[in-house]
Amino acid sequence: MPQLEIGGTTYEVDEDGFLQELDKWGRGFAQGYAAVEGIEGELTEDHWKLIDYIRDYYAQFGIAPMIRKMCKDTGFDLKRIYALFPSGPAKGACKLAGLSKPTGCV
Amino acid sequence: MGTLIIVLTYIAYVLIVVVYTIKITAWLKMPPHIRWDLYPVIHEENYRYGGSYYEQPEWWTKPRPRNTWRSLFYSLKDNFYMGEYYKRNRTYWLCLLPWHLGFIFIITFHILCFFAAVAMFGGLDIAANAPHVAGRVFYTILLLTGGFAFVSGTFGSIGMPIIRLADRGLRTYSMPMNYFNYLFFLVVYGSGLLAWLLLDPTLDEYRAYWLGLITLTPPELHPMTVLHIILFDIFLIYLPFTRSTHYITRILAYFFIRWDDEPNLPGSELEKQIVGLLGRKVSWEGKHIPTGRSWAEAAMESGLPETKKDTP
Amino acid sequence: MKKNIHIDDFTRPGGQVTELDPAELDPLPPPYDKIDKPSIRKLTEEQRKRMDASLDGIVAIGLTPPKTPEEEKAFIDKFLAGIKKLFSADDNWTFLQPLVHTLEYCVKCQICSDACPVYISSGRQDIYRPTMRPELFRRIVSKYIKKEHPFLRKIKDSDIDLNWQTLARLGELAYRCTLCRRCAQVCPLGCDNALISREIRKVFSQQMGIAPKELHEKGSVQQLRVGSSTGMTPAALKNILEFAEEEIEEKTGRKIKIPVDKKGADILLIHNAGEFLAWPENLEAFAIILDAAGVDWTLSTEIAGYDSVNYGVWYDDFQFARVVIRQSQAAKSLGVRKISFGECGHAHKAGIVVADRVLTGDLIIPRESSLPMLEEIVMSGRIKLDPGRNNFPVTLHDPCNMVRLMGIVEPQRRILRKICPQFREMTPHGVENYCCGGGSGFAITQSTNFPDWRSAVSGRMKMKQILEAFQDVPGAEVKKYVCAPCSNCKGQFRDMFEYYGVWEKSGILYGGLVELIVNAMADLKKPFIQWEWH
Repeated sequence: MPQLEIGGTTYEVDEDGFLQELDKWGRGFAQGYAAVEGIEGELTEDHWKLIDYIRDYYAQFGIAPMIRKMCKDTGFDLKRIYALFPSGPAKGACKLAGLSKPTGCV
Repeated sequence: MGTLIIVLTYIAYVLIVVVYTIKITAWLKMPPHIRWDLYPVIHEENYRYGGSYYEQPEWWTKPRPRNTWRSLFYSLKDNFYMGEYYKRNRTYWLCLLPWHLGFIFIITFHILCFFAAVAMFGGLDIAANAPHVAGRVFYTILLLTGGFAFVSGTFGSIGMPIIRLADRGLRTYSMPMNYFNYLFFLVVYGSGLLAWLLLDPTLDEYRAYWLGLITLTPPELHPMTVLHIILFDIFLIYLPFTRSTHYITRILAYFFIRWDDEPNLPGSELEKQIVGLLGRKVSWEGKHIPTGRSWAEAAMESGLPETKKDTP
Repeated sequence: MKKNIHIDDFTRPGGQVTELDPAELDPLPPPYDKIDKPSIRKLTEEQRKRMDASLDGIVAIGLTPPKTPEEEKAFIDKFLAGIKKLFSADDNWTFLQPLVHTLEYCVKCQICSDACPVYISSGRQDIYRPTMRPELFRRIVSKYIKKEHPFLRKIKDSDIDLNWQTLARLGELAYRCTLCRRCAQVCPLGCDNALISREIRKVFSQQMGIAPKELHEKGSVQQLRVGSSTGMTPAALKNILEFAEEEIEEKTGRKIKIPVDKKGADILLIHNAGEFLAWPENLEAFAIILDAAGVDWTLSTEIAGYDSVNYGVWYDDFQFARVVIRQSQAAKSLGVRKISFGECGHAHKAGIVVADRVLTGDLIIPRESSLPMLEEIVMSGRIKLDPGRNNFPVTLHDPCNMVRLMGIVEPQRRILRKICPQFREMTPHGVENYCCGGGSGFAITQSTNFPDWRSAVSGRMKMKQILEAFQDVPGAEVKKYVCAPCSNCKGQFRDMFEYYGVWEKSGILYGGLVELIVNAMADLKKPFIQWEWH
């Protein structure tokens, strides 16, 4: 299993950098990972809004939210999400939120 | 010599029938498999564009017309035409088709010779100037069939290795046995061709040979013809041990695999067979499979890791 | 450099059998002919230590090399025992006849190579010939299963020296074939080289417990445990359906209650659960049409009852059977009259056709495609349609599983001809179509560099076909639509279009069939298709 070191902590991730141990997630993980994902500087309030939304949804339903629902509930359109997370909602935002990679035909 | 070819010929024909029967029976005796149909299915009404009965809503309530004759004609036709090769690799087809037609025609020629011999035994004279028209027609058909077989087979047996060597893909996938076969078949056809052209332009000797076979009287033949007949007998004995059964199994594969769209309806004979197959024990060792249980039991359980203990 | 590949290249320890050079791939039309990025990522040194990539540098399975010679021997022995089982009428009655036929009767004439989109697109790389896998497989059978005499093996050129690396490469190679079965379609001898890919995958899964994570662990296993390969629980499903109902109301002004677990409904509709998450408009469109047409239908919340996917059909007979049995059980417990499958190709083939000889007794519940039903609704005039609303160029992609492998060719076309004035066909199409490149689980195989490979190589032929279908309107200013009535194909299009920048360069959107039907509904205030969600 590949590992990733962020801010002195070692995390188990999958081949594409998705966190494997969901309970190890912390705000430090997201902030530390931001640079890897091409996000410069500190994560903004909007970043956190999206990350928290994704984590809440995950805690409740065990999967990542649909992108459309994410847009509707956060008020961000797809463009805005890409501006925040250049790799996009699934490969960027969900990754920073510490979710594992989406599976199935999605 | 005459006795030898009579004995050898009988052995050859018995063997070819027996081995072919064994091979075909073994093919047919394999259990029914899971549906794996591939379209177009020729017996279907909309075979032209590859449509199936699934195109209708509630297909199980509708008739499913099947045209078996069409499928049979379609699959047999290709033995004489080899359409996919014509469409996709014309140069290869130019050698492959004559090579195969050589087989068909040389065997047909011998079968016809058998009937000719029977007719001769019954008193019919078969020759270019025979008194009865039937004898003259028979003579011409025999001459055309035999002559075509020799020429076509010889041409194919020379062309095939050349094409195989010239094409990168075919060369990589050619085995020594392929080249041995081409050479051997060339000798068979070539000897026949030479005997015909040089010694026996009317192919009279084959009729004498077959008359000898059915009357069990060793015929007097030219050594060259005898050589060809011995080679042809060896060819017949060798044939069932090659992939030559594909002439038949390809049609079986069309009917029983590619075009097998028979639905499993409640209470059908097929359903009974499947119930039997589902009862067979499985020995797969993957962790998600309960080794030693029946197929149905394995399929009914979820196979989830938590429901199965690790087997050593 | 392209070179002839020999069996020795597969058995040699170390090294890579072939290295793909993007410049050698079959060229795409402009502006896609310029390669402005390394089109296939390379694995890192560290990844290579963990995962075998010695076939072509690509990883679908990524086997971990054995640590000791004993481990290697145990692996090989177990694998060979598995191959033996393929020839047992008990263990493998399911595919024995087609398997034996292909092994015995293929004459390696290479007619199938020219039919294979992977082989052609790769710039005719030998390793991707449809005859390559069977060749390796046949040699293993000849030497280790049939134990043929060395002389016979010599004249038949069927020798092979087996080691772990050979098997690792064979396993990967089995995942370079999309099981589109174009090769089998052109075979004059009725052989099926694609089936050999599946049988090799099967030995790896059923005997060795090895399969790409996305197919097995996160795929069929997850589906059997949670209910869906997406991990979606019934609770999540309900949340999503509420959202879909809200969206329907916003878009159409109609208040539609999506029926769930409705006992005694006429139809149990099973969607690919990927639609719920990635393309909810498809599920919404279905609901709008069925509601408007007055169809009595329901969704289910039982295990596999709300996810039509059946990945087993690509790699494992038992996982396959388990899912179809649960789908039938879901229908039985609801007491529906029939099951209808939504827009998912492999679910069609698995659930309607292949399932046919696994289900017996009261598990035989009539199963059908939703396409003929949609055709009937569209043609009957029960809903008012205005083709003018779909006045943009549309082409149709034929999902292999639904078309070549099932014979559902015309219903979708008759619908499009009626509601899309600018409908045009690809060449070739219908049963001779090319795979989207995401077949047999590729579209969901998302890890390491495999997605690059499927965009660059296996999907390349389809990419070319789509661009050619729209060559009269190539610019991005003309919005165009590829209708793909299959979630798996849509997943492939999404990734491939992103990879090549198709929306930006050519303005091509992909989507399902029902979206076009709803988009044509005359009494809707605004268009249903939202181009901004490309």
